[in-house]
Amino acid sequence: MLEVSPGEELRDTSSDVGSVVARAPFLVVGVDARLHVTFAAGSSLAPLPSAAALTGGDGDRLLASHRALVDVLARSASGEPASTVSVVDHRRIALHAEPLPGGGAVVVCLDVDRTAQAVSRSEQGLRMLFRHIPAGIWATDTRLCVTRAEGSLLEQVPDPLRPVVGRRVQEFTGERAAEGSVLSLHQAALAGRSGTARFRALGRMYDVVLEPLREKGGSVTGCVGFAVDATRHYAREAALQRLEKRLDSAQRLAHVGSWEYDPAADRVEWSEELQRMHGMTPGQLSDTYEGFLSYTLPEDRHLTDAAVGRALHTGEPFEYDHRIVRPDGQVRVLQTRGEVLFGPDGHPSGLFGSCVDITDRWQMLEDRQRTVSLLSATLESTADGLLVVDLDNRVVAFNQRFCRMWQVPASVLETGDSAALLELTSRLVTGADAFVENTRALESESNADREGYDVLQLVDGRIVERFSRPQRLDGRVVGRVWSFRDVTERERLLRNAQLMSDAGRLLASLEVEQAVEAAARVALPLLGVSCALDLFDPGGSRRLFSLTLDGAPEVRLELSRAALSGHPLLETGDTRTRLTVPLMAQDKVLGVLTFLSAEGRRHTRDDLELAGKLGARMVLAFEHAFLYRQAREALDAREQFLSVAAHELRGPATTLQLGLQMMRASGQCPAPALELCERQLQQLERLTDEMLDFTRLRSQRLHFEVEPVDLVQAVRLTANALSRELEASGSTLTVKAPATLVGGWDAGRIEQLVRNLLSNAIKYGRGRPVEVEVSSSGDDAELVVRDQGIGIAADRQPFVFEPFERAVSERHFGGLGLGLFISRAIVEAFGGSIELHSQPEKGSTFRVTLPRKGPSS
Amino acid sequence: MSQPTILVVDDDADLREMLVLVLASRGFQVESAADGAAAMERLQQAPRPDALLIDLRMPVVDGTDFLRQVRSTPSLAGLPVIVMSGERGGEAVATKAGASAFLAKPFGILELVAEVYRALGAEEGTRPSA
Repeated sequence: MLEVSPGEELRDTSSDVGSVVARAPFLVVGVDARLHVTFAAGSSLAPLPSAAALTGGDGDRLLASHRALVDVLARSASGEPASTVSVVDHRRIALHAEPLPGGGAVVVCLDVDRTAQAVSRSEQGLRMLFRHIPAGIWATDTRLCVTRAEGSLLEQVPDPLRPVVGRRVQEFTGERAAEGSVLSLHQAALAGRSGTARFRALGRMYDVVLEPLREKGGSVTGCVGFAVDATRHYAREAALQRLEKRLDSAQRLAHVGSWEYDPAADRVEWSEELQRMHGMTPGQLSDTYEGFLSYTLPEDRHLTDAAVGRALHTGEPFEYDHRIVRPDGQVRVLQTRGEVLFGPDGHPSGLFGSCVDITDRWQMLEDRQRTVSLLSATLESTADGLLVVDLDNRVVAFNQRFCRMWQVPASVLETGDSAALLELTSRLVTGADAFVENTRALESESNADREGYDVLQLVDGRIVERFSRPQRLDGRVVGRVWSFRDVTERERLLRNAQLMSDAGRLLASLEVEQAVEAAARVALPLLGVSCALDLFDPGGSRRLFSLTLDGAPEVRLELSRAALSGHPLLETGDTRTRLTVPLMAQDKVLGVLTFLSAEGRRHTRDDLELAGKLGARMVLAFEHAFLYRQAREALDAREQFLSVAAHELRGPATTLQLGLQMMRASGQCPAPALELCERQLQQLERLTDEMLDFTRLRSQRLHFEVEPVDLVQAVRLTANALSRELEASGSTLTVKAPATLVGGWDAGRIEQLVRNLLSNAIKYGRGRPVEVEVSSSGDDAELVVRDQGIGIAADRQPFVFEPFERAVSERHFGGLGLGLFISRAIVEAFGGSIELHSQPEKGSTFRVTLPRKGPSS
Repeated sequence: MSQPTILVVDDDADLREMLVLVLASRGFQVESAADGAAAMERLQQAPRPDALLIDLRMPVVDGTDFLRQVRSTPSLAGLPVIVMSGERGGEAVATKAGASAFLAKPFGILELVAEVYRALGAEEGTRPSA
């Protein structure tokens, strides 16, 4: 068993041993447990592959092609040394393989004949060979006394441990022959058993082989020891293991998997991480190319085919992305990079490479693309014009609406020149200087974090609202976002609403002709420069007013088609438009309202609509005024009639009174007949008085003569006067009152008040008892009249004190319906109040409160 | 001395006749006219009545105008004139126009006679009968 340093070292010393090596070519090859070449050294031993070729990238394949080598290595790798002599090209090549502790094996190959010759020719040469091989060999007799010791290794070993000829083995191994120790190996060899051991000494690792040394007869005459310095081998093996582990953990951490593809063998090797990436546990995966492809999403398989095919054809490295499907259905995106392996013939022989799971990155990219697309769609779909500038006042973003709103070509914006943009936009704005100044102020560095708002009036009549706010990134101002909103329509609607509100307020006046003119004056600036209203009276048309602004021409009077059609009309002249709105009351055309536009301006459909609304409001005002006038006239006529009727009735009443008095004086007429006539005459006079009182109340004139009046006496006198009516009704009357209760009132009016309340109670009392109470309460006198009659429905109660109001049908109960109206007027004239409490079928109670000091004025 | 003569002027024939009946029953000499024009015509003739009882509202010549006419006639300026009216504010109108007394319609015999005597007496007291 030998460990040989890498070929370079041998080459370095080849000049010294050249002659021997040249005569005795050899090859030493080490493999690991999986028969991968771990090292190779030696001179050319054709037809075996050279050491250099074996340590190259293709060593395993070369090794595999030499059956004898593989056989002997495979045998020894199972744990036993193996030897064979292979005849190749008539040359005998001896192969001896020794298992390595921990797996693997090393094989020494020698050309038997040439080595024998060389050795026989030169004992010295053999020694030189040993000296230059980093190994040691020694022999002992049966007493374990060293008989020979050769090899460079022994020279490196410090004296106490070095086998030296003439010394006993125990001297450098110690006397203890523990299990597996070097000494025990020597003892076992003396007993006829070979053995190997690995041990550590002075910081180095050594592999030691002990063989019995036998005579020709077979008896053991000593032993041969063989040691190689395995330190570097183990270090490399450990490093390799560490490297593999590290690679695996690195792949695991980086989610990088690696693979190797051998097309000739149709074999794909997967790293553990790559298997994990596919959602598999190691060993689960198929190792053929088709198997590999089966994990790829079907629609992406052509990508793998194409990349692999091209690489094998061209020898170029490649990179592509494809999607795989895990057993759980999850789709991942892998980025694959690959390189080509070349065979000894220089043609591509395989591929190897790595895969990275870029699903997250891909997802992020897709999310980002989606976000960008969303932002861009938002930017374009918003109703506002948008402009973004950076802190250097360069335009960094804008939308098409901004371009259209400001009539700026996108090409200007794309230059990023905001100064040119400001110049262009300022031409469209009224008050350009202020606009430019405000814009620059907000663009200045000191105002970078300020927000701005203003309303811009454009020269073409549009109204644009401008907002501006800083654009921030991580709290830092990086630019400014301007947004522009065309609010022309909103402003127009607001303005129209304001106009209709103003017009409505103005038109509420009963002075309708002035009101209509005032409303037209308010509307004129919005609807043109001239306005006129022509009314169609039965006698023809009459111009109510004509208004003009700034010397504009007056509206010509003409019977427009609008008036005939009954619909608003927009007519286009040479330089103006004329808007005519017929004022329609039901089917009748009252007149026409006409507006002329400013020169060069045209009325719009919106203007037509607004004028139509205004016209409708004017019609309402006319109708309202007309109805009010009619109602007023009807009221006046009624009062006039009542007044005249009352006066006219007084003539006949006078005649009757004088006549009755003469008849009574003559004594020729029966007294009951005379009394009946006299009572009827009084009733006639009372009705006449009521009528006159009513007309006086309408003009706020009631006549009073204030004097001390006894309310109790007034109640008793009235009760007496009504005794016949009381008797006829069947009701009884109870009066609860103090002896007297005097106040400063008008005797006639107090009597009128009491009579009204008492006669109502008798009239509506259904023959049930009527109660009257008189009392004083502080400075007030109180009169309560209560009946248990038909009562008054709740919904009629609020109206009983109104004139001509009665709670019941006039067919069943007489009177003018003025009694309570006059009663309340009397009570209020004396500073008192009257209340009603009533329930249908239960009766009514009137409660009068009168201050005793009389009217305040 | 004979009873005073009263000229009753009213367009309401029934009332006019009733007034004539009532005043005659109280011993007055009574004459009547249906309107102001007829009354003025009568006043131009002798013997002149001692007092006038007129309605404020009459056709052709209104009571107010007639009264002003009477008062503006020097020979009639001191003639007692009693004005009757059923209208509100009638008394003020009548007084302003120069009425000596006022009777608000409707009135009874006592009020009528009292006012007539008062008008005659007052006039007698202030100025001698012509």
